[in-house]
Amino acid sequence: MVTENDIKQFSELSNNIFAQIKRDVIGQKEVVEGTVIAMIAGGNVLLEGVPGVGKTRLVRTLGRVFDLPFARIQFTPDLMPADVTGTNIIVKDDNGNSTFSFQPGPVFSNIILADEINRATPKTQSALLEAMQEHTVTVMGVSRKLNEPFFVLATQNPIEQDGTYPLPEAQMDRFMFKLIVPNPSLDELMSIVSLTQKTMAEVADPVCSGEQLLKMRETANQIPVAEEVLKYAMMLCSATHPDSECATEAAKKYVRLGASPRAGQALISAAKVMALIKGRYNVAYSDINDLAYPVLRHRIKLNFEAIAERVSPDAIVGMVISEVCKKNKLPAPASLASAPVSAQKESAETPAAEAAPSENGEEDISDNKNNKKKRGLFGKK
Amino acid sequence: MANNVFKKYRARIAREGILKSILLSACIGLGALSLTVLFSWFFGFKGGLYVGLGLLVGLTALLAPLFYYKLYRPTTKAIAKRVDELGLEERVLTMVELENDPSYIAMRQREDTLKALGSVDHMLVKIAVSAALVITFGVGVLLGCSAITVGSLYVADVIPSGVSLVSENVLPKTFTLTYSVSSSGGGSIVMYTDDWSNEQSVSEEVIVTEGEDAPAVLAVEDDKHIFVGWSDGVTEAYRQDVNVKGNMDVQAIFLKYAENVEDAESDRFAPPDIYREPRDNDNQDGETDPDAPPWPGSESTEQLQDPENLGGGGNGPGGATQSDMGNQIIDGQTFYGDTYEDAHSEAMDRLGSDESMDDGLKDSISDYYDSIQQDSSKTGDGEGEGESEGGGD
Repeated sequence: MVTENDIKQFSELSNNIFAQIKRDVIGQKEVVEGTVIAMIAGGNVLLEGVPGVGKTRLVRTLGRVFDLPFARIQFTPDLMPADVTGTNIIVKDDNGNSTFSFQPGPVFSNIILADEINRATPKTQSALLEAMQEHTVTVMGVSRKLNEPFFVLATQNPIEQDGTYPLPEAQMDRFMFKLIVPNPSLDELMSIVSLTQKTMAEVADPVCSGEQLLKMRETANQIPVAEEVLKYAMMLCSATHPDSECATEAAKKYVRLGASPRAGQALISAAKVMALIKGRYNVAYSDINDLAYPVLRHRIKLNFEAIAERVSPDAIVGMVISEVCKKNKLPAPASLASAPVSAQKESAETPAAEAAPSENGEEDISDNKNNKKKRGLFGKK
Repeated sequence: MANNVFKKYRARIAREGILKSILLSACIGLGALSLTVLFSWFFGFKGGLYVGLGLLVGLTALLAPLFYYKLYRPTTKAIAKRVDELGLEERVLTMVELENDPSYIAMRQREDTLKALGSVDHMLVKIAVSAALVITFGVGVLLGCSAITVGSLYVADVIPSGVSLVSENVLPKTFTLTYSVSSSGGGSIVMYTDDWSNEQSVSEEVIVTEGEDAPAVLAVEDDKHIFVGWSDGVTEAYRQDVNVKGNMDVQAIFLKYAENVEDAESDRFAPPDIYREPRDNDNQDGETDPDAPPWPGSESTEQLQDPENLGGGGNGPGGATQSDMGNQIIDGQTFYGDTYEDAHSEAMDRLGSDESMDDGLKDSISDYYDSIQQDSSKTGDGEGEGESEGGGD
C-alpha cells in the first residue's frame, strides 16, 4: 500500500538523483532521465553512441548516486562467459580436502557496466541473458540469485563494426531502453571542458540506497493506468507487427518483426515512473508516446525495404504513433505534428547514417547537427 | 462524484450532442423535403410542397431525440476524454475509472485531478461539429431551399411542371403532315416510306421530327381525271417536304375531264370519216343512234385492238374521234384535231362560271390548259410542216 510518505519520498529522491547526476554529467538530459526511469522501473539500458560522449561516465555516476556496488566489464572478443558469471574453483579446506568453491563474477554486483558489449562473442553475450531477465546466474547446474536491485547498463559504439558481434534479438529484447547518446551541444561542450580542466574527479554523492530504489519502484508500480491508455500502449506495440490485427501501414511496409510483449510491459512500467517523476498520478498518452522510441526502436526488426531506403527505426516508430493516434482519434504528438513522416524519413538519410550502414539496419545513428536539432526526448530523431 | 464535477461540462457537451442530433435529423428531413417537392413538381402534384414541409418538420422532430439518445448523449467517459483534451493528460479519464477505488494513490489521483480541473474553464470545451455533418447540412439546406422555391413557384403557376418543361424543351418537337385528296376526289396519294414500301390511299398522315424531311408522296390521278396541283400551290405530283418546321395539311386536287371529252373518249377509236360510210342513223350533230350498230370505238377492247375492226384507224391515247379528223398518225406526227381546243374552251367556261373555286386554283388550271394548247399548237405546226413537206413531195 502506497502512503503519502512514499509519494513524498519518491519525489524527493528523484529530485536528488537528478541533481547529483547533473553534477558529474553535463547535458544529456534525456539520456539521464531515461536511464534513471529505467533503473527505477527495473529495466536494463543499452546506451549507444560514438566514443567520448560520456556513456561510461554516466553509468559510473549512476553507480555512485544510487550507492550500489558497481562493476565494470570491458567486453572484448576473448572474454569468456565465466569471466562474467564467475566459475567454480578448487579450494582446499582446513582439513586439506579439495572442494569446488564458486568464485562470483562481476555480474554479482548491483550495477553492471557492460562496456562495448557488442565486442564480445555471442557466447559471452548470452551469459548475460539469464542475469538480465531472471536476475539469476546458473553455473555448473547451480542457480544463484543476483543482488537486488540489479541493472545492466551496456554501451556500444555504432561506428566501429569491425570485430563486433551484433547483439542477438533475445539479448536486445532484454534491454528496457535503447538510448541514443548524442554529441553534446556547443554550450554543453564548453561546460564539459571547463569542468574537466579543473578536476576529473566525480563529485556526485550517493543519495539513494538500493532499498530506497526498490521502494521507489514499488511506489511507481501503484500508479494507475486508465484502460484507454493501456489499450493505446498495447495497440502501439502490436501495431509494429506487420501481420497483427492492428498493424500499421508503416509496419507493413518496413518491419519484418515487431516488438515483443516484453515491450508492452516495459512501456507501461516506464510510463508509470515517468508520470510520477512529473508529479502526476496517472499515465498519460504523452508518456506512452515519449517512451515509445526508447522502448521500441531496438525491438523492431527492419525489412530489406527499410534498409534500402535508409528508414531509421525511430522514423518507423513515429509513423506508427501517428497512425495509431489517428486511428484512435487522438491528437498527434507535438514532435510528430511539427515533423511530418516524410521529414522523419529524411532524417535517417543523413551523411552520418550513410557512413554507418549496419547489417540489420538498426544502427542508423547520426551525429551531425541537423539530426541533433530534431532529437527530442531520449535522443529520438 | 464524477457527475457533480462534470455537471457544467456535461451540460456543454450535451448541448453539442443536441446540436448534432438536430443537424443530422434536419439533414434527413431536408433530404425528404427536397425529394418530395421535386418529385411532386416534376410529376405535377401541387400538394407536394406541403407534404415535403410536413416531412421536414416531422422527421426532424422524430429523429432528433432518437439520435441524441442513441448516438450523441455524452457518457461520463466521453466527457472525461473531452475534458482531458484541455491538457489534463488523462487525469479525468483515470479519475473516472478509479471513482470507487479507496486506495491512497487513487485518492491522490482524484485530488490531483480536481486541482487540475480547477485550473481550466469549462467554456474551453468547444462545441465541435464535424465538418462532414456541417457540409451535409449545408447541402441539405441548399437543396431544401431550392426545392421549396421550385415548389412555391409551381404552386403559384409561375413555372410549369417538370414533365411539361422536359417535353417542351428537352424532347424533340414533332409535326403532323397530312397529304390527302381534295373532297372532289379523282385520285389517290402514294407515300414512299423509309422501307421503300408504299401504300396508296386518299389520305396519308405522317409525323415528322422538326428539321427532318418528310417521306416522298405522289398524287396519282384516276381515270378520266387529271392532277391539277396541291392546295399549297405545288404543281408537281411528286413532292417531298424537307426541313419540316410546322404542321401541314395539303390536298391534291384532281379535275375530271369535261363531258365532251368523255364522249370524245368513247369515240376515240372510231374510224376517221374518210374511211367511214355514212349511215342513216347519223344525225346532224353527230350523236349516236342508240338503235344503230355500234362504232368500233364503242366496242369492247378486244374488238378495238383488232386492226381489222379498226379499219386501219389509230388507237391509244389521243385517238381519233368519230366527229373529227384528229388522233391520226400522219407522217409520224399525231394529229389531235380540235380535241384540246374543245376541252380548253369548256374548262375556261367552267372556270369562269364556278365562283366557289379559288382564284389560285383557277389560274393553275388555266395555266395547265394553256400549256396543253401550246403543245397542241406545236404539234399542229409540225404537222403543218410535215404536210407542206409531204405536199412538196
